[in-house]
Amino acid sequence: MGEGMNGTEPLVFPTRLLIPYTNYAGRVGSRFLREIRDHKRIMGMRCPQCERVYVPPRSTCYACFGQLDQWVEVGSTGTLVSFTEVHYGERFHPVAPPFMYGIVKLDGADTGLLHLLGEMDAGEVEIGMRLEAVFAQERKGSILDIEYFRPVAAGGDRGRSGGGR
Amino acid sequence: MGEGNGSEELLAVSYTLDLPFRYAAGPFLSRFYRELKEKGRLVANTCPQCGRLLFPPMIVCGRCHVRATEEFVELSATGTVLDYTVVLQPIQDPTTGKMREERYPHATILLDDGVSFTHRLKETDLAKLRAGMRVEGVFRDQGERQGHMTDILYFRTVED
Amino acid sequence: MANRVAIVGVGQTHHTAHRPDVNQVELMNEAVRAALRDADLSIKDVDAFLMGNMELFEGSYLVDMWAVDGIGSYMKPGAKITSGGTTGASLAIAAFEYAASGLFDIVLAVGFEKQEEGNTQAGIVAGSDPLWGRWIFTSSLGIFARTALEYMRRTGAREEHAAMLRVKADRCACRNPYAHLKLNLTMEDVLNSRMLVYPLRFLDMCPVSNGACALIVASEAVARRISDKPVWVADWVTVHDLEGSLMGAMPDVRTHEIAAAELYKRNQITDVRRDIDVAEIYEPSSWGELEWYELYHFCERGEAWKLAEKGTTDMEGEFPVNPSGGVVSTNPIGATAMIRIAEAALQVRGDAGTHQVTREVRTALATGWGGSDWTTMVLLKKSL
Repeated sequence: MGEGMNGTEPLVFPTRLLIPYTNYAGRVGSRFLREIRDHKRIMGMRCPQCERVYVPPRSTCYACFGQLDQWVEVGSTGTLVSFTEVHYGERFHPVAPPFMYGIVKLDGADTGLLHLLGEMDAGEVEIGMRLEAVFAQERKGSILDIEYFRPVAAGGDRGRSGGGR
Repeated sequence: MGEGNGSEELLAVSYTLDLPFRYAAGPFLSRFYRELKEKGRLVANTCPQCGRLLFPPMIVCGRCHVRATEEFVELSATGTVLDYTVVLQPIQDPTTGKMREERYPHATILLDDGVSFTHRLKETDLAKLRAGMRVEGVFRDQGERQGHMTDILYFRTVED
Repeated sequence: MANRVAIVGVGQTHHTAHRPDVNQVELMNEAVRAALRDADLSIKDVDAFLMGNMELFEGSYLVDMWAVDGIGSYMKPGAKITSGGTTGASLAIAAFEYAASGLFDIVLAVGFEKQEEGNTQAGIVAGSDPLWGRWIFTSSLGIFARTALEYMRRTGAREEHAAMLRVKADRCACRNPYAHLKLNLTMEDVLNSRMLVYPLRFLDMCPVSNGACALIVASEAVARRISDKPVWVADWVTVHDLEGSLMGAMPDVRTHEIAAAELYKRNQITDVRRDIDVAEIYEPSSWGELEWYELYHFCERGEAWKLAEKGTTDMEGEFPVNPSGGVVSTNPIGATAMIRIAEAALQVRGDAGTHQVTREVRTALATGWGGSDWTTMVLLKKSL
């Protein structure tokens, strides 16, 4: 900067973007949420050509572009594929830190579902461990109607650890 | 929330996106805001090639693609209204998440020095507003100025 | 140009105020499937994708990433483009350039807006400079109102002339199954609608719509092989100004005039209403349509109001403009500028059905417009 700019301390302006949104789930997404809210049932969508089950359900198969309409109930138990622990807090986090979340492959699904992990310490978490969904007492039609996934109690697991084929 | 009933109930997810940002104004705009806050005046810099005043001051002339000067000129705060808008309905302000009611009409003001921008008009009686009217900026007192365009409260009508 | 290119497929949704039955991805998917059906192609035939919208309007960042299944872009090269009101046209132009480059034979472009899901005002305000604009910017209504007032003063036109064009747009929209607002308007309806800022009335301005539009573009050799009605893209031009043009005075020479001069010169267009058969222009208000007839040289300076009086630009007129109903009838912003091109292409093909113009169409013009006086113009032809 030349002489004319000497001594000008740079200013920094803090500001926010605060905008309300309402995203429609669509027919397919609405059924997925309603089934969880009203029946504690997790539904997926099957592509008959690729023989894949998507959870959450989708209207189009990404691989073959088929239009999908085969609903399948998947279990509320599954296997942990991956996880992480969060030790810092942000306004947009669903819970206060420290917390854990992971990817759960539900029995019967070919995709993983990202969700919170609860009722376990970091030291107890193992990839491949069996988990079950805990549904919220008050359910409103959101993915947080599943409150978190917890370890299946010993002897209580009837699911398989394989995929959906 | 949902609409429809039974098996056709259609759901939606509502939320407020809440993201914090910190924007650096850069040396030229910082100087502009400091002049406004400390000296209660508007300044501009110029393009050495096309000669036009750059308002707000900036580092490059966007038309000529050359670096602008680092000399600042003070602008007279008197000008003419090119057009005005009366904001009848509150709008959603994305910086606060709240509805923003606007008491004052907005106008495109062409300062006598030749730069134009949007600001508020003091006159709220619609019958008295017209394109072409002469106005001058009313600045806040020094203690109240923050280094923002709201350091000018509004532009009041100058009687001929 | 390396390759000549043609539009070989066109698809759009039925644009409307409320679509709770689909999410954003499914909305795009409807337009993509319609375009593929129109082109008689499968998604496997598509070599590259381009997609876009006004992201902040739905709060949907990185939408190109999570719309992959819906738009069929899995593992395909491509990009997201967002350029304000001209997004749909910028997408189409990028598709033309991808195909013209010789690198891709078949390119899919899709623009969309699920506008009810966000807040249009907040989106517009947040689109202005965070350091300089957001505290005061609300919209460009004041500038539209000023240019309307200046137009009346300069030419002797009256409010009725803008209303005539609004009624024309509605009459066309009522014949377009995809249009959003179909209101059966009379002149009285328009002239009595709520005043926003003099002389702009509520019905003069465009609506907020949910909708998507998709185009399939092919390079020449492929277009000739797969389509019996390729719509040739003869030329395109993009011109835009600085952001200050929306926060301050409009420049003396508008980008519309600069773009038109260049496009017409390059294509030997000397008498627009003779050399071009139909125009789909991006008019954010009926006053904009009136003034911009002159900026696009559809008539002499000061004469546009006469075109409105004579019905010259009606669907059955000598020089039809916006037989689709235009932006005042339908405005899902991320798609709107592409809809102009899609509708112009349908006119060239003779496939616009109930809103096909009576005049024979060999050459069509489609324009786009957006913030910072961004203008696009695309010229389409039945044969090269």
